[in-house]
Amino acid sequence: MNAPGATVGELVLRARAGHRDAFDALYRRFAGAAHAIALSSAPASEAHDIVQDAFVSGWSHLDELREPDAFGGWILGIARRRAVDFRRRQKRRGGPTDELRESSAIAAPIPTPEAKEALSAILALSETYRETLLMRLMEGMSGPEIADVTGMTPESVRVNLCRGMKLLRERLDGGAR
Amino acid sequence: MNESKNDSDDVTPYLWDRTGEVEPDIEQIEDLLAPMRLSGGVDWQRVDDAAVVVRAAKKPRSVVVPLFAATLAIAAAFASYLVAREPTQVAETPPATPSSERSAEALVVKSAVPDNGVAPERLTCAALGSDSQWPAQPAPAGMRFRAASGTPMCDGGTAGKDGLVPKGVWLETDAATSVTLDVADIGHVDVAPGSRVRVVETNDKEHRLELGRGRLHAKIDAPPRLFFVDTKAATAIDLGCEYEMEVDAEGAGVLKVKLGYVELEPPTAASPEERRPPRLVPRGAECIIDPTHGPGTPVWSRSPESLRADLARFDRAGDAVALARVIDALGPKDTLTLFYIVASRAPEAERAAALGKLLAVQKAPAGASRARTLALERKAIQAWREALEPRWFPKEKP
Repeated sequence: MNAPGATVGELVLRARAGHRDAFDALYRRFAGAAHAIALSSAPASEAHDIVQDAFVSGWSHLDELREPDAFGGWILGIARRRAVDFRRRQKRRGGPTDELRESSAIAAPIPTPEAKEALSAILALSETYRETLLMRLMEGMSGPEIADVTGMTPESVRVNLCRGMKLLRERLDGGAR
Repeated sequence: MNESKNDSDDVTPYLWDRTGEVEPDIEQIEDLLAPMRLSGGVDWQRVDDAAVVVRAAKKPRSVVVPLFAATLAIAAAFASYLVAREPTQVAETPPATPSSERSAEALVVKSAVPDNGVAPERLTCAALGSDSQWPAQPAPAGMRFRAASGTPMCDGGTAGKDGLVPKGVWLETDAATSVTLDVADIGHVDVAPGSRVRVVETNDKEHRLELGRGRLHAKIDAPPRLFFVDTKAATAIDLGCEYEMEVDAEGAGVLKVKLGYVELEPPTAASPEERRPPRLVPRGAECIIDPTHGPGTPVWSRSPESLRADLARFDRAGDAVALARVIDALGPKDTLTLFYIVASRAPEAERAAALGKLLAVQKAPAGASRARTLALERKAIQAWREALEPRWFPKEKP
């Protein structure tokens, strides 16, 4: 079993030794942020799949991670690349263009029209803001948790939340929400 | 930057960590999006399925042996047919002698016999042993290698201490193995332990490697644009130089230039809006490679670690606050980095700040007014690069 409060590095070392419970713990810690990142670039219907794909890849390549403590940035980077790769494949197949990314991203199981509108407004923001806002507003992460998981400084997270929320309110108000 | 600090002060407790007075509009959005929150855990069935696929992919040597034998027999029959049909090819057909195992491999190389999942033109490394003078087949295009330590693997099998890596074949080094590749007569590439490298092309117009993962050190003495190294997210174009390049399996890495200069290009597969312009990385500079965004912003290797870390945050995640710190820290001998920030798609406020620092040390070139430069007009950016390049070689080098 994992000791309560085990560090990321300790969990990675245990996972490398084959302990699935340690990798489960890493998943619980980072999957929400990975989901926000995936949803930021890929359709909601694919985001969960992209997260699983990233963690399957992470499990397979755990030995290649030089600094166990750097797992967070590493696994989120994999998720981001999987999402971008998905978008590129869609484009090559004649899928939606980048301009239609947000409408593509919401063409998925969205519970209500209001949720669709809110998500659409977030996805219209720049990458930095939309990822941070999705972590905060959808995944329920706090600012300190976002900083801890993503490796961003708390100051950067504060700025992203502040600027992003300001732009989001403008968009939603402009949309006569 | 002050703007960032003011913005930070505006974050409410509820937005920051859901303490303090609830903000109804934020709470409403949270409620709307909560049903879409990720649930569940690791899909271990999927992990196990993937592991089976990986094991199967690593296994084919046991399958390849009988396949190889069968292919050999078919190839030999085909060779006999050719001997009978094309007398002029007799000299190029390997004799059926015990030492001809290599020639048989060469035949496999040429054979179009399908081998169930293995590429029809699957190649293997040809060792250059004592009988390598055997002249039967022209050697397939490739690069000669010699192991400095350990024994490399070639296409899944042991490659020996030296030999030829044909085009298209992956050469792999384990933790105890390092290899030197000869790039025709223009230089060599040292492949570090734990690396995977493939010869993509080698002819008198182009020598191209692909670095799948690991680290290489290239020393090339040739005209510019003759030697290339592809990675998943960038291509290093030799402009007459010596450099080190390191990437992980996902394509994240760094290029460090020791001599001359290298151009780092984004992958051609990236869409126009995702592509970044090529980076010129001169001696003493380095440039990260981000798997998603391609080449980052060149920076002098002598720069403080904190500055390079902030720059990497900007390159990887567009962290504007980190970029603001970078710009604050850059000095008059950092026009290399300042230029690429100005030429980037960073927010205009940060680009304008970088341009201000550039203008403090370099008069704006003709046709590159502040407005045109910030508008990223191609001619203005090119004029700036030409004006600054002389500084990057004799003056700003470490």
